[in-house]
Amino acid sequence: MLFRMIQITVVLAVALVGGSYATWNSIRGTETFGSVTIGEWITYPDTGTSGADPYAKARLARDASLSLGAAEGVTFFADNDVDGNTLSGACTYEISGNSPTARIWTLFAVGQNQTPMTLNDPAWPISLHSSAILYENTGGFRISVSAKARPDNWLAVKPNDPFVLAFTLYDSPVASNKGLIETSFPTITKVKCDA
Amino acid sequence: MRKLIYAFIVGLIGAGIVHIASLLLIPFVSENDAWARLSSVTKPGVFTLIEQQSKIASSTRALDPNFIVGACQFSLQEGPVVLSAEGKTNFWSLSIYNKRGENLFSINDRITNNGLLDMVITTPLQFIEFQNDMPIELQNSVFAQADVQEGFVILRAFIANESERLRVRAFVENSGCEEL
Repeated sequence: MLFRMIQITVVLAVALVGGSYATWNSIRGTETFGSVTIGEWITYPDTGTSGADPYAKARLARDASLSLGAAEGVTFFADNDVDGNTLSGACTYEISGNSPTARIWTLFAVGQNQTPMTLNDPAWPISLHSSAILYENTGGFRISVSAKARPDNWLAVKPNDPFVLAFTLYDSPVASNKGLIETSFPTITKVKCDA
Repeated sequence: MRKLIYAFIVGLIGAGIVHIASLLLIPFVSENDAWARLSSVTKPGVFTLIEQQSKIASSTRALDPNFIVGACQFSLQEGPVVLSAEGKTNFWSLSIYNKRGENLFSINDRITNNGLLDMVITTPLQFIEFQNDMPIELQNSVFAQADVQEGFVILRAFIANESERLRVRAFVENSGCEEL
């Protein structure tokens, strides 16, 4: 009798704990089912549409994110540099290359609390956009991401905190195009780290 | 011992069932989704600004600091809803969502007549009535059919430079979202 009770307890405990953990864990990571990865950049084309998979729907209900529609644009996130290391405010990065076709693009850093990073000094640039940066004569651009002031294009981040870069293309054929892989994206390279 | 391993395996199968059931239930039982968060702040008939650091904005990961964002909750039960704005900005875009936060319809200023926001949200049934008898003042409007009773609209207007901020803010704040 006692053994039967232990058996039932084991079944229930494994089922409830295991099942809940699997659900919790599956909706909190960055890269999941339905994500498209281009270099360092990840996007979720189906999130926020009726065609989304159950994981994306669950995440939508939990995050309450207001995903951009196909006519609005598409956001790409990067939490790694080109070598696969997590982005951190302790290092300086360079984003270089070209943006895919878009009427406007914007770039900002997302902090640990999932909102755009805020800094103590409001004059520091926490976001950049396509009509407010300097371009090279080849048409490409270089942006320094650093906690310390940099010349030319500079995106400020908090020192030492990890961050995620959000790169959004507005009114872009990329948003309505499923063949995402063809377009060119800028690369994120680590320049140096404070020891 | 073998019976315990057997119980463990049965438990794992149960875990799979619990996982699937809880995953499918989350969108229906979530009390903190976009609709609920917006309900606490929006006012009827107008767009309410979503401030960058507000409670609603937190965890809406893609709320771009280069944009002024306004939200409006609407109901089609009493009739169609008209979205309108005075003037233009450098770039604006708009999405209609159902109560669960799924995107139903999106548009930007290039697609509309002259870059002006002039839109009517109807149910498919209300749209048929419009086709029979189109009011003259709505002839240039964009019609969006949404097969929902209630939903919300998010209007995003781009701030090309800091000096524009107040004007763009006024554009969003003064945009209408009223029942016809």
